[in-house]
Amino acid sequence: MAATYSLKIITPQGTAYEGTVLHTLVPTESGFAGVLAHHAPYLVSSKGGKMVVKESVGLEKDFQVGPGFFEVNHDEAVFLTQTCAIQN
Amino acid sequence: MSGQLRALKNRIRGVESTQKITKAMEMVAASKLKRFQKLREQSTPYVRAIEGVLNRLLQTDIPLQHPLLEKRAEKETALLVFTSDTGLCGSYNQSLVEEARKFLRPDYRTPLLIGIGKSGVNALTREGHTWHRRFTDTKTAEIESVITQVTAVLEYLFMEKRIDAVYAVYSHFTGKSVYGAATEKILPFQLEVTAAITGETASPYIMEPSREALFSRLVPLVFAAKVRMIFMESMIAEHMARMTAMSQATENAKDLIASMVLLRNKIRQAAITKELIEIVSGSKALKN
Repeated sequence: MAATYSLKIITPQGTAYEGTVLHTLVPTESGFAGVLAHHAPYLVSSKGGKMVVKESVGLEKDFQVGPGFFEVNHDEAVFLTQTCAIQN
Repeated sequence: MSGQLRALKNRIRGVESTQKITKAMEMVAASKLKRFQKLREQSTPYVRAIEGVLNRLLQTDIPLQHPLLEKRAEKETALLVFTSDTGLCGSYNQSLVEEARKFLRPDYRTPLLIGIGKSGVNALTREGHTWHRRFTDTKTAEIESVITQVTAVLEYLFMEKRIDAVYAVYSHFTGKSVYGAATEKILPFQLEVTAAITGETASPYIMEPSREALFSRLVPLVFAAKVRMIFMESMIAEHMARMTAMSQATENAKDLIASMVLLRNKIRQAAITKELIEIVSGSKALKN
């Protein structure tokens, strides 16, 4: 079992997503960044776009996110954005 | 006598239907209040998270600069006036307009006015003030877009140096359910660094693209979140005010009905007594 970490997508309208994930593909300003568990503290700004989240249960979820910030520290990741819509 | 009685009965009926209306409005205000309170609660995690990111960016000693934080001599200012679109909410709008007037004295340089809500816009227009932008009759579904527009307008004006400061007049909470009209300076805004959490961030963050770039992207978001909070607070205060005003009106109607019912009964009793006297004195006159 691969290591997992917790991910939250927070918008001003509330928490859009909360779950335990294996991998997140974040649309950063200079391309995509994949984040696995035990990542070093990382703060990156996102230009928005498609964000792919691989959940611990094996599902893959696509989100359409607005520009924002992605932060991960001690296996707790937060994505802050103005808008977020799930695609599948 | 019977004419007076009928008129009174009509009035009682009238007050009763008014009472029904105020009661209904109270309940409507209560449900709207709940909705906005929920909205505010939902945005708290966002605000907290944004503050967290901000704190991490500010933890190093190198000061960061942003156009929205730039302090200039206040030659031109803008004033945001938050009032309600509809009336029947007690002294809510009056106190806000009163607060806004402090800025509109002749010895002050007239600020650029941005109005949200029909009440305040109309009241100040009557006094001869003109508006830079005004948002009236905002539907609940349009609030988000109004917030975005207001934020964008303010940012633009401030960045273009058309204005040097922005003040907002809105209902600020001083307690759990206590609010009052307040003026707050929202631009250039102060970044509050909540006591740096030491020890927790032993390993420094990897920041991309750079600390400065992140900061310049974050500041507008912090500002937007602040404007949003002000919106939410004034919405909550408005509905709270309306709820109180309407429950007061319902109470008053109840008292009024009680006193009128008493009067009605007195008049009716007086009429009966009078008729009895007439009958009795009539029969006495016959016996004699």
